[in-house]
Amino acid sequence: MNSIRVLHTEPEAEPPSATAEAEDVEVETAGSLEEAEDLLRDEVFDVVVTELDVGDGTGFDLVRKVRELQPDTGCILYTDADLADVTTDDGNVVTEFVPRDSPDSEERLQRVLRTTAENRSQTAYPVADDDSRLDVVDAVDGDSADLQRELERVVDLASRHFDADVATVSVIGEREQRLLASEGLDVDSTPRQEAVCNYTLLEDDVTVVEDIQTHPWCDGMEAIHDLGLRFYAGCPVKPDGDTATGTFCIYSEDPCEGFTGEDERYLRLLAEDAASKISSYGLGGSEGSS
Amino acid sequence: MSRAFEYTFGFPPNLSIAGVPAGTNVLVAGPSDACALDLALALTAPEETSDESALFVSSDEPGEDLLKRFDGIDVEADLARVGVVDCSAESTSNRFVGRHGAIEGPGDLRKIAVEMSTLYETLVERGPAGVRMGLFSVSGLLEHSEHREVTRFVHTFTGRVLATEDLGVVYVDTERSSDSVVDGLSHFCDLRVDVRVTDGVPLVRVTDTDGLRQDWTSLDLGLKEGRETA
Repeated sequence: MNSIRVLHTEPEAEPPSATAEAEDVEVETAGSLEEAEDLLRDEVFDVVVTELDVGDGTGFDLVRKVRELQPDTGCILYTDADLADVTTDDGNVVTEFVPRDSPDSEERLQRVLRTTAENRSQTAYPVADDDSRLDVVDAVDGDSADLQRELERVVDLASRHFDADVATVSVIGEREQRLLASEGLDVDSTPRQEAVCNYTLLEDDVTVVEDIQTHPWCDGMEAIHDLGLRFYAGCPVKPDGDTATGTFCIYSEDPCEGFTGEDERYLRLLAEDAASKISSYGLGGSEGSS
Repeated sequence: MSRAFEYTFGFPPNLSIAGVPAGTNVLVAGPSDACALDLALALTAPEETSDESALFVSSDEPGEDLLKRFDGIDVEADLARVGVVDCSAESTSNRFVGRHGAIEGPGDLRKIAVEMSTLYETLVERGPAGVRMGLFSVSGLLEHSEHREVTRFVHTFTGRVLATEDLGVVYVDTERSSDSVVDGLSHFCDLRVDVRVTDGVPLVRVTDTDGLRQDWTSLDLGLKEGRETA
């Protein structure tokens, strides 16, 4: 990855040397919750490091704000304050915690910060070998008109064949899922946290979710729930034959228990066709052309 | 503190599971009455001859009861170097009170994470060779929080193990969590150990990150008198 972008929030204080001294770490500072929120609206950070007291709120308030604005950003509470009186009735938030008064606090912070950034280890979905995968994703030219035209034919075919309400071909970037072609869905992209396809991406074959409403992976995916979609089937798309840049998937408003082996085979063929079209029309750059 | 060499966490020889390098996370999946929890505990027992320590998060039963399970299995563990963050109790009278106050129950993920990190600093001083960190169990956490936040918690837990070059053991009870939950969790771990019972014999199967599955083999935990599998 490129340099690690850190937002350090603490009133009237310099960033800890653990964040400030590393050459590949860029630190922005905020002296309050409000300042931090403004920065989070304008810039993307890999990690937020915060004291408990941030002037106009607590570090936990900030973590909650991060989850709302940049859900995949890691958070580290770095404090020696007593947390006993910080109430928990304002919602549960998950964050890393490094006690600032421990003997190895600076080194601990440095290691946790680096791992959190490099492995994106606070996402609410699994991420595997994402750095090398993202190199190939970056090589996909999703704006190619030829590619879009070709992929629209394939999703149309999928929609008709499966009588699906939605069919899409997408690429999954670091923080969002971008639709290259879609049938039945009028959006260009969704936050990655909202994508069932994160799980499909890690499989070699077709992933089926019979009922989105009850499936644990789909917990909290409000966009899909709001659309009333119930059934999902997806297959990874590998334009270079090896790396999954995204998925080919179909959705239906009805839950389905009868997705057969033949259905899976056909979906696999469509995913391979989409991969072939991306390879032919939309895979540029050094990674993609090799 | 960074270690000067790559440390390997060994396991009791009767388990037939090869040692793993520091920074490894292991998922143990199986019903607790099939010895899966006992196996997970055995993997996290600090070796008596080493400078290791262990940190358990106990969501299903009081920490004291969790440690008593060592009495029933033939695994030598130095319990003086084990610390437990007990988040099992939901009743006020039995609440675990750590340095930062009481944990309100298995749903209090924020406080569990805080107490875990606090206790870690104490344990790593006592056992600088490495800390074996056990999460017992994810199923217990899932019964009190949304799947998304528990997933984030597990990811943060396994990320911490990687950062500090320790050993993580994540236990999921397959009687209480679906196959989808288990499969999803497996993506956060380097090694998956499945446990089941066939004809009264506990069996174990190890799958590595590349998806290479070993065959099912019998699991010998050296159960002591009075203990038997379902």
